[in-house]
Amino acid sequence: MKTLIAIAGILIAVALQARMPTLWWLGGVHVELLPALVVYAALTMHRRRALVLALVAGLTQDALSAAPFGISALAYGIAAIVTTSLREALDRDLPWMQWSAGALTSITASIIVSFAVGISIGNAFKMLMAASIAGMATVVLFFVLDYARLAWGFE
Amino acid sequence: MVGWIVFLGQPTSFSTKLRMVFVQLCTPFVELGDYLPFVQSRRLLARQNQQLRHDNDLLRQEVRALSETGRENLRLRQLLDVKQHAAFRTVTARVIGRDASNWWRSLQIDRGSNDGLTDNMAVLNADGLIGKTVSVTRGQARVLLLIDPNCKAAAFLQDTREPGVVSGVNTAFNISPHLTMTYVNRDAKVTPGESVITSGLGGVFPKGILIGATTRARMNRQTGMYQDVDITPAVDFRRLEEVFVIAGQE
Repeated sequence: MKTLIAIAGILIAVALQARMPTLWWLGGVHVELLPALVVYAALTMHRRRALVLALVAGLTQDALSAAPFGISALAYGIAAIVTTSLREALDRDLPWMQWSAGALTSITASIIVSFAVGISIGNAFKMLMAASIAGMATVVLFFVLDYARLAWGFE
Repeated sequence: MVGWIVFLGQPTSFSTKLRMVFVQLCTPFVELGDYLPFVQSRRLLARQNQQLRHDNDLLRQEVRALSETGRENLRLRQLLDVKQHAAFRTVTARVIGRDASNWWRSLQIDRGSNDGLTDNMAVLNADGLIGKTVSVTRGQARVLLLIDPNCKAAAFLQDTREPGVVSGVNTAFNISPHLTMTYVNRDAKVTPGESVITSGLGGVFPKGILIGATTRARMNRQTGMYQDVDITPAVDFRRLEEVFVIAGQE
């Protein structure tokens, strides 16, 4: 049941991501919500479930993109494995830790994607912008979902 | 896991079907945005305006096409070999989503194979060329925008008839969508503001669709064998709501 709720959350997040306007004044990036969800799952759920959700998140994002199908799933899968492996050493309640985890997940995805789209100074700048925004989204998502878990008693 | 993902990335029928399943799963959520209370009035207005927009866009496109046809007529009359353009069957579609990734430029439209769409069909609006269809499901299609570096269109400069290839530029330092025309003859004289139109070569984009206007030309830095020409797109890629898909000839 919890996995189904999480998958519904992913579908809503990716739909929101696909509806959001591109921020051309910030170098043509738009807000990414899925890295935040991947980090939240990796630092909150069981490792296997977090990995499944990361793969679903990646495949969903690729389905709503012109990207090669599976490339984001690979990136988010790697990010989920690394984050779940490190979670004993991470204090998930620290906002800067949440920001860093979100930003690093976004950068992981960008680096893997750069094998397909190529790397340039412009792309590196865009990568950093996207990572910063994803980090901020992660902090907000942790606040909202932790509050919801407390309010509704989810574990 | 890597092997599995690489397998998915191959254009096999399995990965295509899996992609379609995910698209079908996501689309209701993407379309849900239209039903939110704060955008509902806009949706109603859009419906009321759709017919007028459609007529207006068709007329504007027709005027542009006639202008190009006039030039073509002039040349062809000299050759005494006139071959008239066939009319195109167009399908009007509504944009329902953008690309979920930061690294590709594409749109999702609400028409698919049920409406006669297939891959590699030209997509345009009244202002000019938008891109081509790349991933078509029964009810939706994805349009790879011309501003994506993976979408390339054979084109020429309207006045001098110099050919080249137009594609998007993947740079983060431009605050607006941007195009470049490459492989332009190094001796060609490029005037800023000159129109760039599709040449019809390649078979995807019909001849005579406006792409944009030149801004500046420079010699290619790596080879010095040809010029690269910067183009301002005729289409405002930030505000796309309705598009036409050229779905064959009538």
